[in-house]
Amino acid sequence: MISVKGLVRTFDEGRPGAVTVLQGVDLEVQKGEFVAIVGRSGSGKSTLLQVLGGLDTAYQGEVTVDGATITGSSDAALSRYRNEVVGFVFQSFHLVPGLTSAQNVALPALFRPGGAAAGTVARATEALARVGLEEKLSRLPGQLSGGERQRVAIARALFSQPKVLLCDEPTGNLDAITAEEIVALFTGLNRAGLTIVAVTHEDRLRAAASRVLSLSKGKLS
Amino acid sequence: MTLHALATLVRLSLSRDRKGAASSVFGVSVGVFALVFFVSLGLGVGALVRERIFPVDANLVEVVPPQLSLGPLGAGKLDDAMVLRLSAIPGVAHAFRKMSVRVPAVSIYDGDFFGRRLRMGVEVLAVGVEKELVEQDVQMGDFSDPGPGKPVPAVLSTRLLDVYNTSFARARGLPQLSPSMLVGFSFPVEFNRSFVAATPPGPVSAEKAQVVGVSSRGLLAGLTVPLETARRLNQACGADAQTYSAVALLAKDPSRVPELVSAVRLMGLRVDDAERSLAENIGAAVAMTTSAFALLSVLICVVSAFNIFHALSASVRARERDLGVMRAVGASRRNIFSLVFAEAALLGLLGGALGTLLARLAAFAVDRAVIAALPDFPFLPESFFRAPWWLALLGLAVGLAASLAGAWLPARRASGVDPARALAGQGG
Repeated sequence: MISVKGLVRTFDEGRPGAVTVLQGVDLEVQKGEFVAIVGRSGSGKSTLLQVLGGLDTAYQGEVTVDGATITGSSDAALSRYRNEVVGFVFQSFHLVPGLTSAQNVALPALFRPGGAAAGTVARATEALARVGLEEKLSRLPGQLSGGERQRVAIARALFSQPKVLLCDEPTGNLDAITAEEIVALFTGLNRAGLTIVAVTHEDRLRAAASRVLSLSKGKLS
Repeated sequence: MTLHALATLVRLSLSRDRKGAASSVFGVSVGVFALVFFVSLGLGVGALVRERIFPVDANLVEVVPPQLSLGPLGAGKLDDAMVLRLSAIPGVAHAFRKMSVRVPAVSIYDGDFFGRRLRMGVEVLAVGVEKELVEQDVQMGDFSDPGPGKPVPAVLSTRLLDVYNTSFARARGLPQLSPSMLVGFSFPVEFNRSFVAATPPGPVSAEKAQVVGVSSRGLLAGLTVPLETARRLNQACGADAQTYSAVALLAKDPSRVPELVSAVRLMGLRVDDAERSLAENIGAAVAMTTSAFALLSVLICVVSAFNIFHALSASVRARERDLGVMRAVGASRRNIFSLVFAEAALLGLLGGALGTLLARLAAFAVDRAVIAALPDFPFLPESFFRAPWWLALLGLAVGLAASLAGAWLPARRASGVDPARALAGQGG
């Protein structure tokens, strides 16, 4: 499902103080796998995830997801890729304030070439139901607990029925009980066939993964 | 991204910062208000000068004999031969002959005047013109000489009626009149008689004049009668009934007027362009003043563009994380650029519409205030403003342009937001 070959990412390249955080990373993730990537802060875990998600393009190497090489793709192609192939879950939830849960979940639909199709609301409702929030469709982010916000973020990531879920410290801002619920949610999604790559410090999430990789000194092991 | 999706995002974005949006709309509306207000004022005053105070026909050139006569050679005389030569000038569509009634005349009226008793005597000037010159304003009969003993058809000047209504009628307690009320009204005129001047030898010709229309081409302070009537009256009183006092040349196109004027002067004749020059000078002054205010308004629009620039720059900075989220869920750079640009477009259109509306309301208020405050005077218009349809479009276009100009850089900055950096969390 995911193939990364010789990935090198240097920040401030060519300037004094340039830092190379990924130094020739190779990674293969099979379809339906749940991979946890661990490592110290600043080790480049999030950078790797952003590269996989097509958010960071200033790298060397080759990244292929679902049979398509995203390296060197145009902005429009990468945008379509982020819209259709991958879903993101962030540590800080990153819900858009002022939008209700349903609107946040349906946000990807607005950026489709054909726009929000008929049934978008029903699909947003269904995605929220999958994370147990069907009762809170009209709530604004400020009216939700941390765990609920993360569930909305997960529902948004699932809205487009992505092939890969990319999670960046998804339980980092949650209490233990809520984190456990989120881990259980991921486990269920993975059992349903979704490929998940999660960057984490969380033991529970690590334990739930089918494979744990460690990123250290710019290399995966 | 579809238009519907764009509209949804714009609505959501603007509703999050209503105060900033309102401030931007207000900024644009001030500039557009000033522009629409002053341009419509300039158009209104310009039209007042052109159409009512100095209603100069753009296609007409008034040719008069030279002040210096060339004596027996007859050069410069406006006779039939000269009229033929004038008609032959390239660019002339028609030459309308005019002949003043060359004897003094008076009107002594004593009777009912539209429901009021009127008793007065006035000196009367009259000029005979060809039917085609005024026939579009003639509402009764065919404007031809009726022959002796029958009422003479007379056309009055639009401006004379205006002066009557706003000054004379008020001062004398007489009724206000409209052109249609005047048509059919008849009054006595005695030719070859004067209260103040010596009259040439010859009989007094007692006629009756009947108003058949009111025209901007009519003699300002007198009667415009059929050419053959003037010729007949001059003949009857022993005055010159052969030469014309003026010839109005109708140009095929206003752009050919300068060419006609040159040709006429080369023929040793004069062009009576005093009124045209005055109208042009006043028109130019109005246009320059309007332009100055319009320029000031455009400067205000430039300031409002800066206001939009600052407001949107701040908005983009504040929304960087949200823009990053949009990028993460599939928004392209073009989508983000379109979003910010569309926000600005909406603000600009709203500002333009508001400014245009306020300008129209202000114009209405000014008209009401001026009409209430000023005494009635000749040529006082119903409105000092003109608002053609294109002015509303101009207001919208200027608001839109100012807004989009101000939004260009913030939109580029927004589209260039690095989503990875904007969304950088606490992860490693």
